[in-house]
Amino acid sequence: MKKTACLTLFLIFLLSGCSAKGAELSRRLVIEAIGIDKKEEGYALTLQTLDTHSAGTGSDASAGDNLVKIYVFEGESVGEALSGITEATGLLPLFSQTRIIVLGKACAETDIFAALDFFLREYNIRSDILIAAAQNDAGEIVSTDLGDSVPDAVILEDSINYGEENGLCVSMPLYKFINYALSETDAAFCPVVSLRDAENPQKKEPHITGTAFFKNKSLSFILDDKETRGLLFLTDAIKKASFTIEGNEGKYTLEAVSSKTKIKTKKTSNGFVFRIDVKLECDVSEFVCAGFTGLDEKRTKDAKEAGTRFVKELITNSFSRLYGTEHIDVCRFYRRALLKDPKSADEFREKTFDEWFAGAEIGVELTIRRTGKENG
Amino acid sequence: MREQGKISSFQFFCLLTVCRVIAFFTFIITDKKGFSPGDRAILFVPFAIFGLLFSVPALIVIGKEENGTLFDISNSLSPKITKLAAVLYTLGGLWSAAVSTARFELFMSTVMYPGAQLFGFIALLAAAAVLIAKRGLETAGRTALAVTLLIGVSLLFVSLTNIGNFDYTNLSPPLTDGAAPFLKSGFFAAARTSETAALLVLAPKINGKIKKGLGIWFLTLGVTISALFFLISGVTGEYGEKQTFQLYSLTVLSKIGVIERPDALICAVWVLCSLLRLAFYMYTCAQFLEGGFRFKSKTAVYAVFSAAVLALYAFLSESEETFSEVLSSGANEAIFAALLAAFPAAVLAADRIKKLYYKRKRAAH
Repeated sequence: MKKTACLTLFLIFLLSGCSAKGAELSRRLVIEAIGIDKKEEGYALTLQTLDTHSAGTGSDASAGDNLVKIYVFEGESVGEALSGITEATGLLPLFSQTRIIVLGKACAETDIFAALDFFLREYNIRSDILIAAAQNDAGEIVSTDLGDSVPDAVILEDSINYGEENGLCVSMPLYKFINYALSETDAAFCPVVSLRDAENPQKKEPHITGTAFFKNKSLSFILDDKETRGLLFLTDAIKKASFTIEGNEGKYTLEAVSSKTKIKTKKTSNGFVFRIDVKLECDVSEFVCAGFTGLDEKRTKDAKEAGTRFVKELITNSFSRLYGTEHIDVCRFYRRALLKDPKSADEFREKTFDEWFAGAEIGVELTIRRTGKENG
Repeated sequence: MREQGKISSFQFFCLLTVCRVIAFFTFIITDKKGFSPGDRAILFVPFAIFGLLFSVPALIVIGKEENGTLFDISNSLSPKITKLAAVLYTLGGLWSAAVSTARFELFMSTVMYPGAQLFGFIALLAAAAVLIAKRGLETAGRTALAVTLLIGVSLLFVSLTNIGNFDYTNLSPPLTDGAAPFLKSGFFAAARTSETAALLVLAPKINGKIKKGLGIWFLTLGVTISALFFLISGVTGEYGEKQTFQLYSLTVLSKIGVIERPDALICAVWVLCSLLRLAFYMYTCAQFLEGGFRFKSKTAVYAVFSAAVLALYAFLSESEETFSEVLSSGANEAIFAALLAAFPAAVLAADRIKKLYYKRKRAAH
């Protein structure tokens, strides 16, 4: 008993607490966002870090100006650039709080595997941090002052997450991005971020301009806003969305409250046939015609038909671009075929994307759920 | 009413679960052939079958006399065989403990404290394991029951929070590489389940139905591990395949509401599992020596065990190259298979031959 008590005391007093090596928060460089830009020789990494000294003091935090600190490191590789952190700052880097990695345009166009290999190996980096591509320099995105009371990386992360929740942009965590990039038949994609002027002329705000697709390690093409929406439907990533459509009776604003995309794979004598079915439930949040008018059966039907047409067109356009023009298997037809019938999948793989494209049908079923308190 | 110094079969299988689960958490896939995402979903079938096949000799030993030990049979053959068995099983147990400690240290120095030298921590873990082992099977059994509950809750949490991220197109069809590599995977997974060798010596200390429990245990464990691997593949896809510790990569993705870093808590449970596994191995090794050489283990014996585990672990974890060479050689599985099945089967066969010989001799007289 005495021995146990002595051991317990020994453990409590000698093995608790932080080591002198610098585990205290004030000795850590809390990295919030990382921007990777390709230079002629190597990489330039822009780090947005939390200023742990000012973040802890109320006055400075509300003023906001010193909430983050920006550092730029250069090196032949990403790892080499990051190894300079401690030497330059005297602090140990803390990657576990990193929210987003932004790939600069030049970096995205060169080799994303080389840029991201460090993050695939480093266990301190969470695998669900977001990946985004900058329209130009990543350093500019990461170092620009975006807001007052929260770190700029939080604003960037929130704007992507909010965009995804509202069916405006894709949100791509690192593990999914790598998963798509490593798969032989898929292509990795992520949102494209740019900056635009905010109301306050001193400030900028993030703006998601589309979706960047990567093929053979580097940036291949960018989908615009509209095509991105179609992509979101195709990949079953729509949670909510709002769209304004022109019907025969007037202009409707539909709020999608739920959406489900199902892809059915069927094996026929001619090969595989895929059917993409989108089921969408919408509320009519606005109806503009001559005067205030409720939605009767005829108008509800009109809204439904116009909505169905609109969504189908969105999906068809994106599908046509991705499969017909860019040859990207975003719906993972090959993998579905492989799971359905492994023996015939290789035969299917040898077919061209045009044949894959031809073998797919798209169906949209839109239901009007609520029409508002005005009943006509 | 339970007898003094004995544990229930449920507690015993909880102990085996803790030992196996930490091995699974820190499992590194060295050969992906026969271990495709599709194979993993059905791997529990060959795992349970081979596992039970390996355990047949142990089950016969238990059934010979009610909850008997291997030494009860080997003693009737020759005391030398008993002593040889005691030494072999002790060495095998220490080797297995060292391998799992090295795996755990690799996990700790990669995930929790990257770049750190953790020999001191492992030495403390070994010291704590000695304390638990000295307290006997009852303490370990009770602790295992609580830890199994914690493991169950944490795995349920990880699974439920990741179901939304599951994408079946990340999977691949089963038996992509053919049936042979798949069966080989199941065989190796069962051969690695060295904990069941403890039954050869601990059976008299267990109350309840061991045979039925073992069958249920293999099936439950196999289904749980297969389901987890299936989930890992469906969620992380190719990314997960690139990760050294696949289950950890899934744990990192678990979050709900304000609980954003449950992985830190779950890792704490893993530390506990590792401690308990080490203690269980030390206790079992001591029982093997006690059974073979008829003495009562004292602190010095456990200290020697602890030093041996540390020395072997230091050798294994010297470099990742050494570690993977040892693990991928297949020698590990061969040793375990020999100790689990071949040696007890040989002893049983010799006993049978001896009895037949004497029976015939008596008949001739």
